[in-house]
Amino acid sequence: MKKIFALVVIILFSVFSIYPVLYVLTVSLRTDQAFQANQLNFFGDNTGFQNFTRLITETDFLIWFRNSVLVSGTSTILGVTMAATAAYALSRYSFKAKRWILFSLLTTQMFPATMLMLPFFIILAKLQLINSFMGLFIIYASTALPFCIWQMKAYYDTLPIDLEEAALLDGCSKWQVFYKIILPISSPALVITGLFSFMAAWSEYMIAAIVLQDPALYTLPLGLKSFQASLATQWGLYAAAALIVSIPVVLLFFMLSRYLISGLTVGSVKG
Amino acid sequence: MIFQMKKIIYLLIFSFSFSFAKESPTKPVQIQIWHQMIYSHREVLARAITTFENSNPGVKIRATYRETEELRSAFQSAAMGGSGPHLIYGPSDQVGPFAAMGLISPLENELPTEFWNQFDSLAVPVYQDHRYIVGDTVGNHLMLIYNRKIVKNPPATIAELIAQAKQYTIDSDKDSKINQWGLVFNFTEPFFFVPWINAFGEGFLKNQIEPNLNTTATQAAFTFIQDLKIKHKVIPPECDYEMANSLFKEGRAAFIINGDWSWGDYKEAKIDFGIAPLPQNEVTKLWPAPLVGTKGYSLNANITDSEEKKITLKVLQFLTSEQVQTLFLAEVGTLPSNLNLRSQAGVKNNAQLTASAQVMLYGQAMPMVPEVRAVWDSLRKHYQAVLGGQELPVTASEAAQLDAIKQISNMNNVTQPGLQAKLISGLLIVILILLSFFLLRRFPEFIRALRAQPLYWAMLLPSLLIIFLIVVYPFFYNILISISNFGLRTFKDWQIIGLQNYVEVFSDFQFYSVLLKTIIWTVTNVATHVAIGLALAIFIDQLLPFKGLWRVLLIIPWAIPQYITALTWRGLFNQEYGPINHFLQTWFQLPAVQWLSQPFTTFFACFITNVWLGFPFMMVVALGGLQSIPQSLYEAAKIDGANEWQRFKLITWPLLLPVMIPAALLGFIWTFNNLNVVWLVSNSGEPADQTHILVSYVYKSAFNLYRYGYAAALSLIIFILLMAYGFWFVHKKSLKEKTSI
Amino acid sequence: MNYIELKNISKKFSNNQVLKNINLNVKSSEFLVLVGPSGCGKSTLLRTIAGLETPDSGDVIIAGVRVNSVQPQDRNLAMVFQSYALYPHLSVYDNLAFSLKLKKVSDTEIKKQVLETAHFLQIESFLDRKPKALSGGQRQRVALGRALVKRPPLILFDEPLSNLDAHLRQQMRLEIKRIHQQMNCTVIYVTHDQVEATTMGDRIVVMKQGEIIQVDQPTKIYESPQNTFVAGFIGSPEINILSGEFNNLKMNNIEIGIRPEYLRIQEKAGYQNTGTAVINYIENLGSHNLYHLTQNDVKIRVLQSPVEGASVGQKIPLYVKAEKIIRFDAQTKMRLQD
Repeated sequence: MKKIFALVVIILFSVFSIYPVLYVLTVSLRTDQAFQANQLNFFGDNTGFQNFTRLITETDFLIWFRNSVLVSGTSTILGVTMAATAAYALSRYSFKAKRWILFSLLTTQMFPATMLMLPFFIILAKLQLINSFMGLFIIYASTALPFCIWQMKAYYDTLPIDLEEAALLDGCSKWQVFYKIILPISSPALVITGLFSFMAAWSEYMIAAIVLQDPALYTLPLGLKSFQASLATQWGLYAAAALIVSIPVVLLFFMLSRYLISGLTVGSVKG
Repeated sequence: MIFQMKKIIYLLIFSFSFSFAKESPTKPVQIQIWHQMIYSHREVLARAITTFENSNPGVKIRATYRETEELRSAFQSAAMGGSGPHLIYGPSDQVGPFAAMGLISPLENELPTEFWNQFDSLAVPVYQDHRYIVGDTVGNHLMLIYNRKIVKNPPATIAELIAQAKQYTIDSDKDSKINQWGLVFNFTEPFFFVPWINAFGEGFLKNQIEPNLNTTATQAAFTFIQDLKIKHKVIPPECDYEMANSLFKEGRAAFIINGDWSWGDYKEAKIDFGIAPLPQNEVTKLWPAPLVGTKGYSLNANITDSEEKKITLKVLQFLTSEQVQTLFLAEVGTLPSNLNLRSQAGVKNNAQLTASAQVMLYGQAMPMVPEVRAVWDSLRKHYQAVLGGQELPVTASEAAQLDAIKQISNMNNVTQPGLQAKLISGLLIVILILLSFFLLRRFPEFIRALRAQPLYWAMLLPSLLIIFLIVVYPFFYNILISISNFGLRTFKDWQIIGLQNYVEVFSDFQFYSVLLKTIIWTVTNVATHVAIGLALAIFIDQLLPFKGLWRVLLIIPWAIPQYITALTWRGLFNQEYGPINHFLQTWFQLPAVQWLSQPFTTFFACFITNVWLGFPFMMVVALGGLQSIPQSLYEAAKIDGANEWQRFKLITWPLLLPVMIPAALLGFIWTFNNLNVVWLVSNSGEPADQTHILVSYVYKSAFNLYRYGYAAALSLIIFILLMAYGFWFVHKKSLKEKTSI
Repeated sequence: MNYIELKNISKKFSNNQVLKNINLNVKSSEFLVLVGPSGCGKSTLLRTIAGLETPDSGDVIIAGVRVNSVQPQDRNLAMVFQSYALYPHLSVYDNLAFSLKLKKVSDTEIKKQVLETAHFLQIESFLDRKPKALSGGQRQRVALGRALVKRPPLILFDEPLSNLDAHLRQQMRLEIKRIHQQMNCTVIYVTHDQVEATTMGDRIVVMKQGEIIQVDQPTKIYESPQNTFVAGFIGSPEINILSGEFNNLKMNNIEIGIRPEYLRIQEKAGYQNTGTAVINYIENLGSHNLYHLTQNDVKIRVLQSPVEGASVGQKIPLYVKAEKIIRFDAQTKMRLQD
């Protein structure tokens, strides 16, 4: 029966999805620093939570964690704020250059990252923002901006203008209309935009590696990379850290998957 | 209310971050050191640092570890941008490139002659008449390390080595998996390979600077390693550094070829090991010549403040002093570079050090010139091709030589600006002038618009400004670099030269083959992601209960950070340890596949990884699309006589297209541009530089080979290709919409 | 002859018994209307006939064949949905041709049938447009066309007119009746609008909470409603249901139903005087006025041609056509036979 076939396929893919995660879990539970794990044996003679405790007590993991939260959180707030406002202006206001701006937003997605790394660096150096979180805030917020503006604008486009007109008649200024009426009902789109920004910043490695040089400022990706050496990787610690790093994002995903599905397709299928 | 709170939180964080974000030197002077010391050495360094800080209040030293290759590129980027650490500690072969780019300062005039005289000359090499590095240890060379429990007498000749290795390669439980290997080492890396060349004839460099790869010696060495793998079967078919190290530490290898940095690790793993020189070639009577170098401190050229420089030099002197070298000697057993210490009991009575010193006698000095990078690179490529069976030793050595010469000329050739440069510069200026006119004319309009709708502009401008700064400006900067001669030698004083870089890109055969690979890579990926995502979405939406559960499980890959994913999958595909091979062998009785040492299978591994990463996104989009198709359409179709397949083909598919098409386009662009997966899974393009897509190829050109102008031109071409594709795609779609299906 | 027979149909959704043991016969070529308040099960019953829902128990018999396990597409019927369910990505022409293409009818034949149907419904001028470019009424007709093009012996309508404005609704009602007459097919029509029901149906099925209350011709239902529910549901303005005292009838255990049009505040032949009442409110319905009165604390509505001088607060005489009084049992609410 079709249903059985579908079930089998889904289960296969679920296993496919989860297997690497489980694998990392087993590595993190091993007490030697080895990467060998031919099977998923959770309870061999090497098991222990040592790696996790060592991670927290012996390394700077908590510092990296705090830094990542700070950097990701702030750039998310910055990015969402800017995207929400800019997208609103783009949605409600028509002006000559509008099409060009929209178009260029789209094309920024096409830049290969390699193109931007060196110039980024030089700009930040000139502005003395190297080795500071500020530099990261700006870069993370702004690289996520085009996509977020695009999403928010699509969402605003689906809101009927009547709401705003009613509010204007009730005596609101244009800003109040945005702030008091539109923003509150845009929460699904805001959530998605925020989630994307957060995830992008949380997992970002290359820019952080260029900008942050003081280990006290390391974010998680940098910290994790330091466990790796081409000549001696501490796999257990790395795996434990990898798991912890992934958890917030996965959790966020779970909680917001509902919004994800509706938000991504807003404005696309008009039945 | 929530939003007011958000604003406050933001302000708080903002100010909070300022408090510890900026690196402002207030009371204590902070000296930054970047190094690549292995962790047992790091601990010793930390102790040395504490000692210095205790006797020098007012100075704080921050030591940061970075892995060797990364250390190089990070320092480059930082120093180029005018910052970076005060001191950088690394192997001497980094000196050449850094000095050529003007990133480190000559030291011979900064430190007194007595200082220099206390060191082994190998530890303070001269490059272009300057001294750029002070080494605290000499050696860093390869030797034959053996497990004394298994090996009683180390071999003196290669024949003996092979015989012993054969003896010690054991499959104890007869499951056709080797439990103990005779010999393990990171044989695919040139550093571990070139010593053997000398055992068969001429070495790989002439006059310390010219590549000398097209020799019978090189070919013989190629064959030698191949034989070890295929004929004698004493080394694992795939063996990277990790694996070799692990095997030896577990006591599952009789011999390992490694350097002195690993001793601490083996001691900790309680292996009773012995040291011997790499065995002599009994036929030619020649010895393998491991590269002997030094690791030491160099001064960042950006440190110009005299007070800071003074303190930095003081730190440098301390860290290379007898006191600290003795500490290292005692703790991790490295050979000190200070000549006085050499005659001390601590060194003389150390069996390992004595043995190691013996080995050094056979060695060759590690060259520092930047040209060596080019030699490494071309050698690596063809050597790995030989091992993978794609090239014969004879052709490989010839090709490697040609490649090396070409790359060196690329690196060194500074195209001087000529007529073309003038033309292009002129053109640029004209464009700029036209642009300014154009903008100026629109300016009053702009002001009017600003006045008319101040609120909207206030909301729009910050974002536009930042995007311009962060995204648009670098774009134009990149264009500038692409028409310049920005490279290794012209680091600080590059000039516009014209379109030569573009010509080079288009006349390079590699470009087309990588482009083709990239297109195939992208298309197969996106097609697979969409197919899988769509199928799963349909199953979940229409056929199965527990929708929430499946959605959540299948979204996990998307949530995991990419770099973690890539490295994990790389491990899963490991030939010896990876569970995938294990699975294939136990459940399907198939032989273990050498996933990562052949180009096609490596690509396949990258493909699987990318599919794992990519299908959730398509699934989510498809689910959203499915949810917006009203049920009544299906009912009407049912009544109209459509069966399940027809309903999919005629209703579901056409109504999903408007949603899937943008998703596919996005997916195409992301996959085309995705550096992480290919770079990390294949380990920078191995084997033999075959596993490249355009972006990784660009990355390599820029950051490994210093061909910045070339890389910039290539980046721009990639961008234009994508734009063109995007246009064509959208155009095709709107055409399709006009004519009904 | 019965085209459809429903025997003991029951259906439950979650814990809700939506259809309770329905028995119904539908005659060939009749226009049968299923009417009732929302939630009464009429749509479910329609969908059961279509095959879009399967009954928990009971038999669905179409043209003498038990079709419980037959797929909708094989039941040889057509359905017009409340939301029209037009394929948004196909033109009007393709929407109409959809089912014929599936049957592998030849293109020329398709063209002939589609054009014929389009002409019939006067939608030829926008055959190449997409549904989103049409007005509500136009979409309605396309939905109709899609059903008609198959020339089915049975057409099911699921509240097709509820999204149209009053004017269009009236027009479409006539259209649909016309179609029914010309095509001579069997029609089952679901609506919650009792005016539609009474004007369109050959027979009406009044449903409430999953049960059939009464099946009969509109006039019979109008004159002889089975119980107070049917009396109140059919007929606009709504019937007066009175208890207490009226027209010298002391009403223990009975309730009286009298339609507003059978009451007057002015004398007329055939009407008896039945006391006085006070005018609370006057509703102007154009050709008639609806007078809201109170008599002995009982609210009564009267429908008649406008009376000059009648005003709110006025005390006026009340007249009733006595033979139109319907009596119901006060407990069972069922009509009492005369």
